[in-house]
Amino acid sequence: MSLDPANARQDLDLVMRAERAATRNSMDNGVFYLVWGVAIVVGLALFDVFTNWLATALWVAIALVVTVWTIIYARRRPVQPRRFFNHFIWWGFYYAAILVGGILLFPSRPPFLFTAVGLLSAAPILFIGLRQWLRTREA
Amino acid sequence: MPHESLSDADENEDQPEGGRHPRLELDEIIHQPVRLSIMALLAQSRKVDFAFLVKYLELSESNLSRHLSALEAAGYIIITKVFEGKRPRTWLSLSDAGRAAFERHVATLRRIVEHP
Repeated sequence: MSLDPANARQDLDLVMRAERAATRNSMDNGVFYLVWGVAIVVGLALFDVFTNWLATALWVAIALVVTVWTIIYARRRPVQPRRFFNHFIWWGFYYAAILVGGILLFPSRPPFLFTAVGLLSAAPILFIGLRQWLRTREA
Repeated sequence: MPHESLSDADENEDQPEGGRHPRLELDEIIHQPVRLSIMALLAQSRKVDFAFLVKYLELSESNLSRHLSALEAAGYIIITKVFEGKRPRTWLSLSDAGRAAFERHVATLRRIVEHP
């Protein structure tokens, strides 16, 4: 079998393209994180607009819809990734800390507190999602 | 991808000192471009849908099946046929031996590029 460096480079490009296609068509393509990031910002912003009860009901409804979407989306992916959810599990601790911290630090509940909490807590997963999404679309 | 064959004499001429040329360590089964793409996709995943591979590689089902049979015969991939609801689905995954062979193959390609 013979192979010169130019052919070897072509083969490595082929491998890279295939790996990118695998990521693009799996749950690891960033869409999951982007959707959940937006849902969290919207869900928490509801607490600045509506009463606690109504906002809670709407937030639960949004979370349920997004959970159902996640299950369907994951099942329909033709490529099942080797590892997933790592970021999301760690992010859960961060989210809880930001939410509890925000409520404890600002008990008077100033305007847009929950929108700010939502943006701050969703920022890492939005960043991860955007980075993954852009990476799968590189030439 | 055109990979011209060299005669034995040519191959001996450009061997580096103290060992075989890396190209001689390439895995012949994985080396074929379609099979290399299949292995790369599977290496990145837990399992991949057969129908997706047909579409991604722009091959007919029978043609893809021939490549998959070659990889399966080498013990590199595992083919699992299941029913999801009423729909039959074929999942492909890499065996441990396949993963090791693919990683060796890619490492060899990198050595050829870095130390021609």
